[in-house]
Amino acid sequence: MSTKERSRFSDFRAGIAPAMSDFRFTLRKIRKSPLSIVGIIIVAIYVGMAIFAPWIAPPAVGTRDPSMIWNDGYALPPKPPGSPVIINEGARNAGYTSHIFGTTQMQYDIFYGCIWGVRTAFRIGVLVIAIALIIGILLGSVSGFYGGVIDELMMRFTDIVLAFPGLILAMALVIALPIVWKIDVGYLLVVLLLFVGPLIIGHFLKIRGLWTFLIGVAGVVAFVALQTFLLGTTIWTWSLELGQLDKVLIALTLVGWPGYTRVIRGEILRIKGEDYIEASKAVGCSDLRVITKHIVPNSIYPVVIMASLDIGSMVLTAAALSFLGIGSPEGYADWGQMISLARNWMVLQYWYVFIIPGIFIFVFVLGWNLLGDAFRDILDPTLRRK
Amino acid sequence: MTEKILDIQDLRLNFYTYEGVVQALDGVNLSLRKGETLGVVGETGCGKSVTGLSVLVLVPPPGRIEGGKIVICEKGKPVDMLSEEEDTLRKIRGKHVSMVFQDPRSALNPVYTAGDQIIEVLLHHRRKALALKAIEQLDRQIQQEKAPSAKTQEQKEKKEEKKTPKENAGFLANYYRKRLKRYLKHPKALDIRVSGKIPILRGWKWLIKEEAKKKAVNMLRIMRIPDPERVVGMYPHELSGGMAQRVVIAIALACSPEILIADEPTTNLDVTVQLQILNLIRELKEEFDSSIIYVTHDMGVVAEMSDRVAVMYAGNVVELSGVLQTFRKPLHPYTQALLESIPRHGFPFKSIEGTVPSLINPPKGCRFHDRCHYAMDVCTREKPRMVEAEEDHFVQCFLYQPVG
Repeated sequence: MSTKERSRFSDFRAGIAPAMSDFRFTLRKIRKSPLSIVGIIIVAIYVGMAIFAPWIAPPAVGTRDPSMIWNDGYALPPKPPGSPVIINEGARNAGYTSHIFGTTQMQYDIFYGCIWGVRTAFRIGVLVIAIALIIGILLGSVSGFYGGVIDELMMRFTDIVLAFPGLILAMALVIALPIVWKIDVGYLLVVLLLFVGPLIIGHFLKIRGLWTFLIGVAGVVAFVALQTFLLGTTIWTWSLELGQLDKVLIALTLVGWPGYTRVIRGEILRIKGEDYIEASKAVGCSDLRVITKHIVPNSIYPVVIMASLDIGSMVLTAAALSFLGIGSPEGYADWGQMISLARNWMVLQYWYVFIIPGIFIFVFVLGWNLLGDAFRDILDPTLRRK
Repeated sequence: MTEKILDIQDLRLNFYTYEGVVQALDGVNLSLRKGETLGVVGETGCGKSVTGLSVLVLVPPPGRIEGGKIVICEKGKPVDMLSEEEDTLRKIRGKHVSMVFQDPRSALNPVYTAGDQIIEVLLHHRRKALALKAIEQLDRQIQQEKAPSAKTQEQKEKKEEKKTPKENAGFLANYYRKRLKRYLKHPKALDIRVSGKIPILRGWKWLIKEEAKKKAVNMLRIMRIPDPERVVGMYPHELSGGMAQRVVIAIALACSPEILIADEPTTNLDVTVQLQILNLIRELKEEFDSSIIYVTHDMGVVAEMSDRVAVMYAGNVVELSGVLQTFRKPLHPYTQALLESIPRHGFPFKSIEGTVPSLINPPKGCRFHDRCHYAMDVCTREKPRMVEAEEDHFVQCFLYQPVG
């Protein structure tokens, strides 16, 4: 019985052997470039901080929202590191005897803000980039692969978005976005149909190009007419309340996607002309398969690297928004917001107010930049092996 | 031998470019007989490769097929490729008609291993056959697992006798077997599709893939690649040119197609490898019972490889005959000039005077008339028809047309 099991285990080992040797190769590759190790370590430390934030910096006893920094009274001038916690009973009960990194304006604890700010930073960076990446890959691949009217429309729309400076557009969006969203599901469907409808209808009618688009538009118009005249417009409404930070997330996503769309489209235009795409069609692959299995894996590397670099810069942009006072609310555990609080105290005497959160932002961005290089080494098979 | 497996009639194809309409194919007539190799020769830009691609109905974008007929014989049943739906074409491509591309380096996808790319074709066209094999393999495994335990332990043997061999085997093996059986019956059933997506439960799919991998290794072995088990896991940039071309041929032959279109498969290879590949293609033709369209501009390769030769000039097939007739007694002035321009030791270089005409404004009448020594008045006015000048020797020239 045991021999049989052992043979199964050795079968399993033999089965995963190529994957293991690949993995070992990746490790060796990473070990060779010390900078990517530094990047990985930095990001790993930040991940650790984000996960263990409640243990590293326990929230003050009795707080409702742990992402709000606890404060020790409401005195205006910051206090240096090591000054004792006097007033806040909840913080003392949670184990704080002194302010480790000092306090910022209005006596918010810098240590607590920096540690819990890691969570905010990851939320901003990873979430924004992930959504922007998905939008970019979807739109970019459709527009690059099919070309024609669809491509023209999508690309002109991205041009419009790209024409505005990113930070300014993000600011405008944050201010313009309403806090309470009433979403009419019917209209959501209409917007969705505007993008997807022409493709679906074209697929069933076996036509592409201008006619597809016109029929798609006709379909959408018919749908809107049907909804407004027959059913009324307010049958399905979702009400959604957004926090200030959610607005920042949405604004940054809306600003961030065109870059990816463009790069992906450019890459796909390049890959589309390659012989192996023709060859994959010649063995009978469908369009969907050609896009997902042959084109996207070849064109995704530059965007993945770009995205990992952008995670850092998205956090910077969010910090800039907070600094300008339209990001997260006062007292929220967010590095940008803490530097915004430090605006009035930028003298050497109060160094801890702006230097400490600044270092957290700096190292975070640096870590992601180094990790971006590491990603390139790991992912690109043409750079692999020798 | 005389059964036609592919028949191209009056194929017209235009490229719509910014400079104007390029009339790349102007009424191409070709036929391929079962089991033969048809060499297609001609200068660069005369439409050889495009003819090959249009058999698969895969003309790259600015090009469009404007007329004509491409009939292939799929298991004795004629299929008109140009009037078929895209779905049907996808089932034909790679299975009945497949193509070997010119540059093996760029014809392989750099992010997948050689094996993956052969497996892809197999999974696309041969899923059911592979599933059957996987079931056989599972049955054998179940038998094997039962055998040793029955021998060694007599007590257990008695208990096991009551159970059927199926119950005795592992739970997963049985489950996979059932799934595979069901897949064979209803490949598109909902539960099959759902269970194909869930980890562990989709293991039956891996078994199919495992069989495909075995077949891929076998294909590479047939291609005379040393150590195929290792090459299967290699990426295209790790392969030498000759090996890459063998992999490309292996992909094309994986489903033993009836028609193989070889688009200059040896042009980018050095001479020794070229010879190996040519021999390989010739042997494989016998082994897989395929008919080959061999596109090249190398007259030597044509003489070596083909049974019949089609000479193309500026989008027309100007001469179509057996290989001996083409070389011993070429009829069309272009073929004659082409054969004279093959460099030979001790003779001065010769070339055909003039240049290939622009296909945006092709010359009226015969497209070769302004370079032809025998040009007559009628050549500038009318386009010659394809006539059978001798037995089984077709030529498109007024010199051989009955007057009137």
